[in-house]
Amino acid sequence: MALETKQEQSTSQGPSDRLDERYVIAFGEPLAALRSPFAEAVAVTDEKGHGESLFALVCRRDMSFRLGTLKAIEAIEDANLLNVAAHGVVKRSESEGERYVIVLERPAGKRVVSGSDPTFRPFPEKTVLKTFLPALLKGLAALHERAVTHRALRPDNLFFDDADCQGIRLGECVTTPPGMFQPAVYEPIERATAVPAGRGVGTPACDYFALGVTLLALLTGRVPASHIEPEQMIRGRLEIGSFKTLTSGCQISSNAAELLQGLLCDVPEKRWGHEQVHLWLVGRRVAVPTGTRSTLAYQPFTFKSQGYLNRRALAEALAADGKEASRAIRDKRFLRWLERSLNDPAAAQAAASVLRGVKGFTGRKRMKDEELVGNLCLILDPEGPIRYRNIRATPDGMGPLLAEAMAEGPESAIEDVIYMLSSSLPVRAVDTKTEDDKKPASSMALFLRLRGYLRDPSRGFGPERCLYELNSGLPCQSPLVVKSCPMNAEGVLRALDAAPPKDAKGTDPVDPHIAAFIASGLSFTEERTIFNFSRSAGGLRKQRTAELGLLAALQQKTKVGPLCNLSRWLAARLQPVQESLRNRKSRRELGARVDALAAKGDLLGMLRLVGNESIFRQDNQGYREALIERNTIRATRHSLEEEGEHRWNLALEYGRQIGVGLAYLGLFASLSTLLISRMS
Amino acid sequence: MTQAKTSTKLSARLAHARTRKTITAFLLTAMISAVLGALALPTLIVLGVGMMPALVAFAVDDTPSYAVFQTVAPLNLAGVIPSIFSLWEHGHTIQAAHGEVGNAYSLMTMYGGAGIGWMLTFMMPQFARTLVDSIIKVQLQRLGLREKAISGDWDFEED
Repeated sequence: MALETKQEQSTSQGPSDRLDERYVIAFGEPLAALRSPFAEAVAVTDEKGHGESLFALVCRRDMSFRLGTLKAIEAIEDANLLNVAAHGVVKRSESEGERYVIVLERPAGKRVVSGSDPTFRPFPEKTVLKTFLPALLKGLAALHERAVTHRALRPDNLFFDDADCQGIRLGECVTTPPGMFQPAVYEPIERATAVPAGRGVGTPACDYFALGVTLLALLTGRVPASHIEPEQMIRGRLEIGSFKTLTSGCQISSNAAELLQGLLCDVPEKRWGHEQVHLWLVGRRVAVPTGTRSTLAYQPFTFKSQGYLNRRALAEALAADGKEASRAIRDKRFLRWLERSLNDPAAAQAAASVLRGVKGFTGRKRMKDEELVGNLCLILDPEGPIRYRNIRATPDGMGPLLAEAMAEGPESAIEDVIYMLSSSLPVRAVDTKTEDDKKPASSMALFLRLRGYLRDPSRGFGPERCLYELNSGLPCQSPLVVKSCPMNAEGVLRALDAAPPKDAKGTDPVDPHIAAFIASGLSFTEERTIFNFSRSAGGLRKQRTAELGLLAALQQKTKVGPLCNLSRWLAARLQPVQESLRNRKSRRELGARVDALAAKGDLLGMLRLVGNESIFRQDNQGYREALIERNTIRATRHSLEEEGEHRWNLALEYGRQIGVGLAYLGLFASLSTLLISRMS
Repeated sequence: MTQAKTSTKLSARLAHARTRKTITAFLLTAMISAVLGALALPTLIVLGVGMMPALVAFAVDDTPSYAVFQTVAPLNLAGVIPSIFSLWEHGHTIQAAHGEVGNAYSLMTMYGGAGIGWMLTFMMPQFARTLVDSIIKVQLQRLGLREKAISGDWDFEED
């Protein structure tokens, strides 16, 4: 059956060019002033609205966006935020497929600072502290109440709320991974050294740090520390603290300095939050935090001819040169330095345990030098990012980091992230973090699970599974469906149904991405039930039946309705199942029944049919009997054809015996006749 | 080697047994002839002349079960018996015996019976072979049709 000639519209409804049947997305009308780094902005018309001004952000298909955050904030109506009106998948065009679109309230004014300007006109302190700060504080509070962070707070992501540039609103925070487009200076020191994609969701304290830097930038008219090299800025922050480094050379009032000192504190627990800033705003006295967490050593540890007193700075230096670092940390002087100079016997003990090759986390006898260094860096700087080769990432930033690596490569970057995930580093990082202690158990369980997935070569596991487990807002990246931007199993089924391939027989509808994407959305029990196929041994018949089983189970679970094109695709894939029947009549009948069910789009019916083992058992039994019968016939025929000589001898013998019999019969007849005639 | 030896031994034993049988039959015939010669010479004359084909058959028969002799002899005897009955009815004398063996009709009956026996000897194996061939042909046809039907129903791996 030529599948391509039989394609038809399924009865199930796919995405249209309208969102929620009211928002018309004008993809042809870009709004450059409102675009986000990963999302273009376009105009929106609300057909059922009352003149509200809206715009839409069109998300990228190959990068994760913050779907969880989006769902958490969609109900918020706050005057200090760009409130979400709607979101979902919308058809852009036939050729370009579907995209995830977020419809937001359109700010009345322009951006507070243009993204391209390194310097700008400073705002008066009164405006910043009395107008901007309260608005930002309320906006952040509204987000934090719903347990989500903004992680994109910077001057170029603020909008004036009116044409007079009086009010201010926080820009969107959902189209890009958290913190990815924040310059390092806006990140607290424990995340500032992480690569942009790996900065993680963070905590409200991260937003308050960014608030402090944003206020400082607005007050001074430039990005703080923009006049010094980034490495120098990081080193300065590590050694003398963020507040001193960032405000160095800035003309700010003592009043503002007090606020900034509270917000730019390098110890997250001591950093000012909503309560302290609110009290400060109303004129109450609030204790200003001082110092950094990193205690200095009495004596420096010399690494590559440079002495380090600060443990965080040393961790950074060690991670920068893994080979040299692995030699340095194996030296007994390192442990002695930790114990005596740094006065941290616990760290010394943990480091000694790692160096002894304790298998507490990895279960492996040896770990790579880079992993060893990474572990030691986490002991030195428990709040810092995981440091592995060139990668610096927080545990909650691993998802976007993997998504970025898989979307943009190179292969070595993917390998590094995969190795990092399969190593002991994420689990140790979660275990040692004091900042992310809200759900350490679930995070640890997640990373332990991911390590299991990476070890499993079956479909539904591997790196792809990690990708979707860590990025709930990433559409399925399978080349078969990515154009349709499926965000869940139902979307995948619709996408598969909408665009069956030309080579239906040779195209696997459950490729590694689809399998992993579907599995990541299932509960443990569902996964065990539905995904058993990936581990099932057996020939092509069992594999194809299992494929069908997975998709049929999903069709039933999602209640997506008939899937005619996908059913035909799978019917074509089921040819090996039909061919596994030896009886030609049964095969034809099975094929006809599969085709009839495929025409109805009934995957479950098809599964019940081809999954019925008794058909195959009967066929097998019949085949064995037929084979025996045919072989017996052949042997008999052969013996009958080959035994000519023997047969002639046999015929000769029989013929003679018949002759003898007839002769005696003749004698008997002759005697009888004679006797009867004589007697009569 | 051992098999050939065994086969030669078996053939030798069979030939020996056959010779013994022939001698026994000859002696038995001689004894019967002697008894008959003494008690009923005319009957012996008719039997001796009439059963000549049977004696020839016995002499030339190389079948293990003396099938040729067993076929010719009964029918030959069936042809001789009417002459013997006739001899006994018309006086059991040498002249009557000479009359019987000189009678062309009687000779034709006696040798005709033997002829039929010879005919049966030659024809029956041919007839049996034709019969067996026909039966096997029918059997092969039936088996061929069944095999074709099975091959049509099932996909065999080697096909």
